Amino acid sequence: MTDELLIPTKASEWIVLLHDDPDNLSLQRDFLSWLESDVKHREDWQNVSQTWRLLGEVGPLEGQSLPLSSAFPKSFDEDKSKSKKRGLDRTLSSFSSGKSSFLPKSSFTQRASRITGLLVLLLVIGFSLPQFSTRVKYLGADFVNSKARAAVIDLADGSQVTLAPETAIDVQLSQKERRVTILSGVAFFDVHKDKTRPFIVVKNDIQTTVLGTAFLVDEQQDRVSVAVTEGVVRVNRLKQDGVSLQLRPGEGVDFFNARDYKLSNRPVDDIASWRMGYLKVRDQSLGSVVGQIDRFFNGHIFIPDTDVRKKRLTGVFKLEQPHKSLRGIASIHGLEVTEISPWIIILSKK
Amino acid sequence: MNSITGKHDLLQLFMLHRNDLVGYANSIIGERHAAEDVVQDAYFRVIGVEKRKQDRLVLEEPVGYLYQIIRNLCLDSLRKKTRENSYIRKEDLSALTADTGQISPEQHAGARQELIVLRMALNELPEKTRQAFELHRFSGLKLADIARQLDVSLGTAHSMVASALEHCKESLKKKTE
Repeated sequence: MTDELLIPTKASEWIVLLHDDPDNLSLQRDFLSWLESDVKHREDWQNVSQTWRLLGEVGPLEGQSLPLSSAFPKSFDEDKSKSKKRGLDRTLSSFSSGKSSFLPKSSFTQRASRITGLLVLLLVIGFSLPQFSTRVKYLGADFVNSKARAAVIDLADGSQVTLAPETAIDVQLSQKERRVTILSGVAFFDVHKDKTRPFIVVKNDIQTTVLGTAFLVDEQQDRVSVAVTEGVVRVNRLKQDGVSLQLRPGEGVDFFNARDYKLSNRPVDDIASWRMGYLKVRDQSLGSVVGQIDRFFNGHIFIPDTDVRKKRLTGVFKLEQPHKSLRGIASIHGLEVTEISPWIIILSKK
Repeated sequence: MNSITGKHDLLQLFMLHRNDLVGYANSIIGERHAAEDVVQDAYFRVIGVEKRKQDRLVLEEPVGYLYQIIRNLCLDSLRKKTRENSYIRKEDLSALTADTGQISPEQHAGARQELIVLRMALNELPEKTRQAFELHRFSGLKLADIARQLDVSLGTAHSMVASALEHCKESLKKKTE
């Protein structure tokens, strides 16, 4: 007897399969044909995805019957003081997005009627789908910014690090050196001058060393970048060709793969403009820009067409208003913004 | 850093479920900022437990564990509020902490009707069906693994999870009609 799965006929059957195999393109195409074949399918899909999402807030009944005694570790107070030190989120209550994640039902049906003529090859399955999680492979980072806004943390040496959303770093301060490892994401460093110990930031195999200055380490899907706003920084690529560069304010470098890198020059204010709540880009690919906006967005933005992703963009985008930014991008490039749900947006050709 | 061999990469799981968890905390506490604090707090506690590798049984279902910790942290914070300014009547609070399975924190005034409906719907499901669903939705297990764990065929695992969801959807529909 073959252990095969039947072709789904209901939205509930589809959503389970799509979650089970999120990278399966042909499954997604089949799903799309099903979705578009009948208006009732779309309604079913919306009800099911809404239910799916709400269930996240109900939580597993199983987990809620665990005995209390095992729920708390013995050194309860140790944990408490540790979490106070790492309590970056406590100081950031003013940063929290006050955005409500629920919309009244009526706006759902309004959106349903607006979904027409989709030219979509890939589809999203649920807003909890991971862009972050596929990049993050680490447990228990020292600092994690899981919110949708930038987070500023003060290190014990007097330096300040601004973490973009979906960023996790590890910090090791010792007598000899100050070392930060970016496990995932983007961070801007304002380093306190200390001649006795260098400040080293490591991301993958790119190591940036500085005595006291301000600079950014960025990662996109295809590259790791370092840019300096103050002081001088030495950037080394370890392991490979032993590339070693010295960067001054305004200067930056993008490392693309094992071999290629490109130097850049930008006004100092443009570097890490996201700290101020906006994204200033100069001739960057649409895919890369949307990827950065996505980081600040509580859902997921998809671009199915490769040539759409390759379009070049220049502009300033307010990160607090991702919908507005996307519509702006869409209107300039003749694209369509489709909201499958408030948290799932597709940017496609008209 | 610890090397945890298990299928769960905790940070990854946490990020995947973070919005759900904040929503859950919010449904009890009623305040988004406090909810985010609680969730972050819960995360660090679970890491603390994992680092010491205590009580392996608990850590096999870290997401369920997170929900449990969040629930307790929220109740603690509500209890504190009661002492401070009698914000919640004592009767309401005892309703919140009663673990009878009938009354839950989600029935606290300000909690959403939908969540109550869904919780009841989940409770109505046959044991195995609900398990299959929770393993898929919260523990992120693949259907193949669920099938193996529950000793059913792949097709059955799929239809169990789908029918659980269908039942929840229908319950929600009935309540709002």
